[in-house]
Amino acid sequence: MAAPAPAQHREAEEEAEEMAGVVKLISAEGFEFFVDKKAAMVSNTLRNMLTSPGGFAETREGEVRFPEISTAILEKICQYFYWSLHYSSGKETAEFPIEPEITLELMMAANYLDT
Amino acid sequence: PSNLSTVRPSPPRFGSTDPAPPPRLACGLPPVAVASPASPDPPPQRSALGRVASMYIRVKRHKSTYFIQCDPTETILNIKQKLESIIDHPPNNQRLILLATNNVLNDSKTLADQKVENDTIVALTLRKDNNEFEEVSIANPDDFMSSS
Repeated sequence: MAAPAPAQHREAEEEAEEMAGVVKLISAEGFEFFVDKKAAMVSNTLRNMLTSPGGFAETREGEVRFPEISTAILEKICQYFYWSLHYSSGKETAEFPIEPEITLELMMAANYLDT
Repeated sequence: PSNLSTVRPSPPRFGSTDPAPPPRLACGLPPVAVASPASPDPPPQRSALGRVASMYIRVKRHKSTYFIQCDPTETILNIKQKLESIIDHPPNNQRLILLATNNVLNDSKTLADQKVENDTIVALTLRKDNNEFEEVSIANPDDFMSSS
């Protein structure tokens, strides 16, 4: 299951090329979330899927299904991707709000996505 | 659930490992004067790369949600052009509606003008064959719970 680790020192341009575009993430209920590839790569699991040579079949199509992740959780995760992109520079910060009732499910999904 | 103990209690910090945070506005763009009468040039669409756009909005229709990165100074038309690259419908055939107020968003105005902020939900409707726009329709996940 473990994908080969992505090369750590890739040419910057090549990396930029790979970061472009949009991927579709599909929840358990079949809801679709279109996010920038760059955002999806906040998740190491997704990064591996999207960058490993040869690739996973579904990621060549630009979509990944998550039959285990409910729509509400997947949306929260996508919001987190963007929150992380914006605040990863560390210069400024803001709270990422998490409702208590979804905490457990969100943590399990985050663990799976390695994010 | 014994593996829960391995779950980190809070989101990991990202700041430390980031090699070189991209300088904001590295290209030296002058700050855009929001009040300029005829907005000269909309910000070029390079937000996907280079620097991080300052916010995103969530555009929803049926069971789809599009996360669109943008800046408050961009116009609705800019947003529709970004959407076009994903959904293949030209801006002309798109209508965006601020869900909170039900206001139809005006192509020539900016996001800031119309109180569209970070993480805002905007409904998308498309032009139908009879040239009218469809009603707002956003599916609710609860209606799709597996009934097993």
